[in-house]
Amino acid sequence: MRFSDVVWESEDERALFLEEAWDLLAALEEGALQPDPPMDVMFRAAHTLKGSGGMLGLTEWVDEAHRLEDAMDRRGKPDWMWTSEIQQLVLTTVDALRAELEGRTRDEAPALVGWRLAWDAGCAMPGVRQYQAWDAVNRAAPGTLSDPAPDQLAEWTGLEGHLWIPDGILSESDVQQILSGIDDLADAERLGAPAAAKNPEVKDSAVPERREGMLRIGADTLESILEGLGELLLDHGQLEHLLADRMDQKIRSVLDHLRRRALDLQDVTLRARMLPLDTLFRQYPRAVHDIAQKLQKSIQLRTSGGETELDRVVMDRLHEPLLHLLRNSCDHGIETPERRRALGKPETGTLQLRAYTAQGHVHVQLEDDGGGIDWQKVRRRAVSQGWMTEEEAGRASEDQLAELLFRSGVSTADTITEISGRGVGLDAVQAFLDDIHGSITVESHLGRGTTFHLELPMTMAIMSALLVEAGPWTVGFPIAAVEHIEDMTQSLLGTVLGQKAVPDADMPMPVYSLGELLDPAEPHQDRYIIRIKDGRTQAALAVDNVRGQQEVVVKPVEGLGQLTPWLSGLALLGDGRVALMVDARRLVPATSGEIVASEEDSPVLRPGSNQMELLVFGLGDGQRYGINVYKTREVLTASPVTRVPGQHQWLDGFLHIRGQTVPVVNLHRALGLSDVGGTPGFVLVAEFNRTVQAFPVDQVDRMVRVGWDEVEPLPAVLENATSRHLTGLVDHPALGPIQLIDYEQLLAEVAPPLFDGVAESSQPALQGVSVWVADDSKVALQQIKRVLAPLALDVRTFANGEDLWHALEAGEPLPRLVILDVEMPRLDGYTLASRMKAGRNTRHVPVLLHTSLSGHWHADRARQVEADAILTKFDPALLSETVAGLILQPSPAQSKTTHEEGLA
Amino acid sequence: MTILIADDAAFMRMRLRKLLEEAGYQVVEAANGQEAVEQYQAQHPAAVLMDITMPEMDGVAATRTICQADPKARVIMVSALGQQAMIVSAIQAGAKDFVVKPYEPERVLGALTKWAGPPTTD
Repeated sequence: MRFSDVVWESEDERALFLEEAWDLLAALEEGALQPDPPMDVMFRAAHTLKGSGGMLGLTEWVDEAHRLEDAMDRRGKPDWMWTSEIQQLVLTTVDALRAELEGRTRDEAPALVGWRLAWDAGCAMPGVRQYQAWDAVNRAAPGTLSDPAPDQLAEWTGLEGHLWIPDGILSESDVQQILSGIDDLADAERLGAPAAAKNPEVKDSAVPERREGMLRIGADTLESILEGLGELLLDHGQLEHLLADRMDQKIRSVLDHLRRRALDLQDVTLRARMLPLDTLFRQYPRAVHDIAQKLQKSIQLRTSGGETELDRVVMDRLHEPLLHLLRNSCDHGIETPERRRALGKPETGTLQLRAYTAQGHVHVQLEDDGGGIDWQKVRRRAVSQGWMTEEEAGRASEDQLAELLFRSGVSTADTITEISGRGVGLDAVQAFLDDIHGSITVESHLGRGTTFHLELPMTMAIMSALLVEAGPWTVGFPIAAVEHIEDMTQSLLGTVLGQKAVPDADMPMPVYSLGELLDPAEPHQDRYIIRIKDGRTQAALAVDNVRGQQEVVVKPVEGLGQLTPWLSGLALLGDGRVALMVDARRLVPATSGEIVASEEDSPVLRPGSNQMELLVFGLGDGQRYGINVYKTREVLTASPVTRVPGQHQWLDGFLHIRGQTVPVVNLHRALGLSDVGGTPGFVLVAEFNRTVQAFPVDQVDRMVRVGWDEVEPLPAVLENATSRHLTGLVDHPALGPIQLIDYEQLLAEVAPPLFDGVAESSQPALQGVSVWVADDSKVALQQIKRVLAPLALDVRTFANGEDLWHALEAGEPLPRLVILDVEMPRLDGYTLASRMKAGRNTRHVPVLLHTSLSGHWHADRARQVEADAILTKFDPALLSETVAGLILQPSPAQSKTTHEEGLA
Repeated sequence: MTILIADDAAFMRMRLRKLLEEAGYQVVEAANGQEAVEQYQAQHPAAVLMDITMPEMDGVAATRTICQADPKARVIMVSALGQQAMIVSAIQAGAKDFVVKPYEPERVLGALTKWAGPPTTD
């Protein structure tokens, strides 16, 4: 008798048998895949299966179970051993018995055979191809299912689809034959176990999970409960509005109670959607076993942390990418047994799948002990594919290279496969993570293995959001994407070539008005700036108001996807209002946040362009003054300073800014403008020479871009109190003259740098060696000379870059080293350095850039112009050490790499 | 062997006609869906290259009419990227295949050979 023919006394009886049988089969399968199988448990399982089947009169079932029991019976067999034959028998028997159980449901949902269809990367419309494949197979075998479903294929653009074909109608070659008529099919693969949990229809109906006090509820039931609760909250909001003029204590308390209860229920329901990751992990040991067998490798999978809970929606979507990574690790990570033996590794490769919760996220790690990624090969590939220049590839960190693997797209996949095998479809994994606001990182050690680390949000339905107002809308951003919120009046807002921008660590960040982006016709105020960093998108969005952070329930928007790709869903707020959940990556104009290295119109200055951005301000004397934007951190409205007794006459005192005590230097007094009687309304906070200082100013005007060749050094005749502290003058076509202040000199006078710790060196090799220094600050030149004095070098100074360049061009004997300030009139340090590096003779002279500008970004720029080293002013010991190092290096090429590494 | 080209853009028809005639096919043309249906009934071409966006009757509706009358009709959609949903409807309506505009000549000829046979076998 077959299982499908059993006449049950009650539905409970059937359910109990099924539940138990399913558990026993799982125990057998899990046991068989362990290195040291728990034979007692497995033997008992086989025995119990035989017994229960016998009770029902399932003859074939009993036979199968009996064979299994027999094979695992060690009694009276001292030589008995666990062999791969027995393992295979266990697995095939488990499959057969499962198929028997599923046979029961044939009338409602027949057993289905899965096929994985991989579509060509170049396939124009994979959705159509998948539809054609489904259509063709379904004609031959009605009842075939497609994943994604046929009615979703119009929108679908994936590259891997599945078909679930009713068992017993078509042979494997029949299916291959039908599929061979479909274009763009890269690969069609029949999936191993026909009854794997991948086939939800079958499993769901066959295995009602009914444990003590537990009830299995469909996900869609939960979904409609959530929806109902959402509507209740909306009704509450409406009631509150309708009753507004009749509101008394009683109504208020009923309304409040109603709202609180609805929110609580929402919370409980959301929690009910969480499932332990084991639901997913349980399938993988078998999958890995099957993959390994196909690859003729020996691989075991260990899992831990399966009790970690994750939203069912996230989990459903995690399955494919995770399976993909597993397949990848088996295929390309773990070496063949022969190779492993040769390497002295255990023949059986190990994959470890771990899960844990930390910082509000679920972490999943997949580690293999295989060959690891050969980053050098990835570098070479990146160059040969034209993704990077040789120089960029050489510099690229492993993180950057990994990002390349994840982002490179399918078209490059096979080439990556050849070299390290980590490219196939990793971009699909990345796309999934981008979509759910997760992230992936990879760590790999050549010869030792690779670890993928996924960070996932615990739930998709509930999200921690920053709520803001823009025009008539309430808008939410995932809090993880929000970097910083600031008051517009306090931020240093300027215009970089027609685009509003705020300074950021690396480059000016474009500012967009959120209200304007949503609907230019609606009035908006733009009072705050939120800085967003989401994936690669970086933008500053101006909004009217910030409402704060809130946990919100996000409902996806159906059918609007095409019209409003930036709308990731709607969130119902506790007060009954609806917030638009915005995906900033799709909202801000596409070019923002990218480094555009084009010409004049580029929002970002290129090094070597001999230009700078000036922030123009006034000191109440009717003149305009400027400061390099890269020196400025922010502009604040003036606030009272703390005075300290005995301070320098130019020092106003100290300000407390973001946890830092910052000296306030009075430019009026320093420049001899005390009698002007200005009323500073703003404080300009600047960072240079490794310190932060503030300058009170009267007005802040705007940002302008000027060329260093437009900067005129001051004529020597103008030697008065003001001019002594100026480095140059720009005649701006629109604004008129702008005076550039020598901030470094001011600072040196207020707080002279310490010269301790400069070692007295008596390197004879340095004696009399010619070193040229260009700096427009007299103070800086003096300081450098003083620091270098103990080295007994022959130091020659120049007041700007152009003078030094003329000396080089004049054919004078070349110096052994040049030290260049970055900001100099006429010719800036970057431009001079790149000119030198382009000259036939001068390219061999080591260049040390010496800048007051802080930040790693400048190190990057220094590399772009091929400077040999860059130092931030003013560290005497480091300067003297670097100068000696650059001169004593045996060859320029070698000194270059050494110093670059020293910088990184 | 005759192929029907249905496209409202005269330029597209010209380009396709040139390609097909050079390959050895005979060509008839239709400038909208309605004409395509009429031409199909009059000429019984071996295959149809059908544009989607056309006046009078669009390509999907024309395909449906043609395939209802002749379930063996070999209609190949010629579409721009981004019309995936339309293509799926066309295939539901009976179209056999599609090529994407701007098309590669080999793709068009490949599809014709696949569904109607090479031009020489008349």
